[in-house]
Amino acid sequence: METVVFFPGCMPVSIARHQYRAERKLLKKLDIPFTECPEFSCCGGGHLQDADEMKFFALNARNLVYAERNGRLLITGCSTCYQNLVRTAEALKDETLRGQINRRLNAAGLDDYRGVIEIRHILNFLASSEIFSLLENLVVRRKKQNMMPFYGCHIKRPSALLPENPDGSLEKLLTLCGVFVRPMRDPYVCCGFHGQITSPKTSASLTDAILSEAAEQQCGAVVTVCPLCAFNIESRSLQNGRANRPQIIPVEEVLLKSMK
Amino acid sequence: MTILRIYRSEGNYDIHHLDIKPETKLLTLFEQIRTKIDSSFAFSSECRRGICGSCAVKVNGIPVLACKAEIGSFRSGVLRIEPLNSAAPKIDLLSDFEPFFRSFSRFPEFPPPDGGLTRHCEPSDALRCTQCGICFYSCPSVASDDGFAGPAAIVKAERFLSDPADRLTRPQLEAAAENVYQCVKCFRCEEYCPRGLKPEHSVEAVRRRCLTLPEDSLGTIHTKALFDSIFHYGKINEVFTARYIFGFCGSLPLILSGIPFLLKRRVRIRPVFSKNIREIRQLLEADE
Repeated sequence: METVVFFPGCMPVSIARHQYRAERKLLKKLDIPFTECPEFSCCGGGHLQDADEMKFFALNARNLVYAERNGRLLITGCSTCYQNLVRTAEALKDETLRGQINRRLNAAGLDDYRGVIEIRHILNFLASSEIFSLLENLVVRRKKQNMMPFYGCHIKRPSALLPENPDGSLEKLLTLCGVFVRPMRDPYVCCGFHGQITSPKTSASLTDAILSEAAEQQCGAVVTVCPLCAFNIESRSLQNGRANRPQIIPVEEVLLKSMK
Repeated sequence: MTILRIYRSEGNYDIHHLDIKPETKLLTLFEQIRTKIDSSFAFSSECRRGICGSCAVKVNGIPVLACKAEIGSFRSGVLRIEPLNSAAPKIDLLSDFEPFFRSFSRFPEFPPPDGGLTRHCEPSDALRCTQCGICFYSCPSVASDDGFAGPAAIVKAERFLSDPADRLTRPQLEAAAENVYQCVKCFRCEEYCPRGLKPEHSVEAVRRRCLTLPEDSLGTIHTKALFDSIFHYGKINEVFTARYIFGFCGSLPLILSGIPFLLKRRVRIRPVFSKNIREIRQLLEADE
């Protein structure tokens, strides 16, 4: 198998290292050769475009240039990174804009962005038939627990931009692990992360709705596919006190714990 | 066989079992129900071509224009049809649009052009907005009722911002700066807009303009904090941004709330820097 470029995102390397470790271990267990560039920067976190859109494109184009040096497929476990990288790649299909951005990259001593790298979210990657069949051979231990799959927004929206439809992928992976899947009414609801500081009331009401649905469904755990969602939901549940606090687990960790 | 569960103002749902061709438009179906089954059934529609935006309803929670949505486009064979503003319905499928129309007045009226300027205005996407209310009634920040103007009003504000004939005065931009940071970037507005507009891009454009204000708001400080963190580390550093926004003492509660994560061995205390950070700094400094 060709080498995959792994783009972890800021949060897994700083304050969600359990996800980072799980992702790396999982790729190793699956025997997928991967490389991670120490040059990778933040994708802008969904907010750099609020300061300067050209700089946002330039920063992400730089990430994609490093990815293109190392492979043809980039996978990331963070939905916001995924959305921002795809947005950059799509915008840079416009030749005029790509020329402008490439001039900025060249001025900083970087190669041109060629537009040949494919960007995928790790969830879609793991649920794709090729990788799923590898997982089927590796998952042995059955987890008998109620879990609520939560997708969040940036893995799906805007669907006109994002190339893959994640519908059902998380359920598929969890069912493989023997989890009792308790579906959410709307698994693509926003967790409120991006409004944590500037819109705390909305953010808290969104996060609380997820937590109360987990409690209603008697789920011991909420499974996430984005470190921002996971961190936001978990911090909120810690703030809310001890009662009915579900575990917040990244899907990579659920898979890993179901393996030998 | 398609099963329709249609909201009626008495608080119950009418259930219809119908054999419908998948290409049938939802609005055609409503009209058939009104002429053949129940003449008291209320809904609104006007142009029948996706232009006027008056027939928006929710199908299984997803907002659509009834005149454009085909029955076969929904994956489920059971369609739960509700008014757009399902939190405060009026009669049957009619919604109360008052809060939506009021949202446009959140930003003070823009002054008339002062005559001295020649209009060289880029054609704006905002002109295509039909004010159907779909974005407004699917926005979680609007729903949480914290005074957010909502996507449509921000799209309109951006249209005025980019018009050289409309001089934007400081109080107007300040009103926007209070408001536009309430967006949580969930992209529902963009997902559901029947005209394919990108309200999130308008939010970004208005936020960029807010950065030109002489006085900072929480929103502009937040943006600057993230920008500076990326400039400094190449990454978002949580401690750096918290200190930037709330100051040394003010950020302590936030930083201390990370202790449970630290105990779970999830936190790397030494800050992470991107390699070749000079390139990143140059890209963030570059202005053409």
